[in-house]
Amino acid sequence: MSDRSPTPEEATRSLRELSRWQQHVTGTPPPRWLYLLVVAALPVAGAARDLWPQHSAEHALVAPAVVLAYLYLPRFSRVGSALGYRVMPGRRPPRGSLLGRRYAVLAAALVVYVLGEYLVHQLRPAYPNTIVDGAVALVIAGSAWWTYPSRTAPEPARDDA
Amino acid sequence: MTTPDPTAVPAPQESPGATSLDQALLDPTRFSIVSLLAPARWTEFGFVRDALGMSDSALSKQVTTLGRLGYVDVDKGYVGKRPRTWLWLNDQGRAALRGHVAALEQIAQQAAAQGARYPNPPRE
Repeated sequence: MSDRSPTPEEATRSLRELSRWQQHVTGTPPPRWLYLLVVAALPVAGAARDLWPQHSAEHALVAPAVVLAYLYLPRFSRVGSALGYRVMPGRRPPRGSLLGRRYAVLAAALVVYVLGEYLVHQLRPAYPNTIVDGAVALVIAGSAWWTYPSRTAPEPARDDA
Repeated sequence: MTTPDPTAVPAPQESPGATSLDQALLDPTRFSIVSLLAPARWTEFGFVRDALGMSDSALSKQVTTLGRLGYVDVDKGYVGKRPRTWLWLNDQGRAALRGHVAALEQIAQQAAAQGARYPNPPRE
């Protein structure tokens, strides 16, 4: 290895390479089955609250507990691998567009939740919690393709780029 | 005249984190590996291997080099009955990458500034 400085072109290419690999990692989606399980947990928790209202306080804890487990358990290498993760989510949240997309999905889920609560309060349908939690789950599930668009490895930077 | 040892471990920077090029990271493969490890906590060896299209042995050599420099921690274990290896870019490695990237940005910006001083002549 020679002690030399890269040319401006080499420096630019390296920076481009860094950005692409980091996007590849942050764009790697969570295991699909786990994602679907978490999404399915929401309407199930809602249905449980509707069917057994006397235990609604306990059932209300299910969804947050599942979401917390989903967020924190993959941070440990063995647990994360056992759950199907190949990359354990980073210490810092991803920057740029991906983070913006996640916030947009959360905001959309919150809007649907508030709107849903208002509508079921007005219309009083059967199984109101199932309907609202199901709608939120649909928003989160439907946004998966948009939140994680990068599913393939980027082309490495070519020398003649 | 002596022939350089291709397996020699390059010396780490004395003050990682400063705006200085890290000779170890000038190697494109090593730079790609740390770029992949940087945004994550632990990364499976197989993920890095597949993403970079490397063989197990080639990646293992580079990881050993990065480990000797103190940039990457390696954890070996089992998930069920399957052996797994996880890689972690530790704080020293992250500091080295930050300094290296800052130096690369400086080089690119200086070149851009110099280029701006010499605009293209008008075309006829």
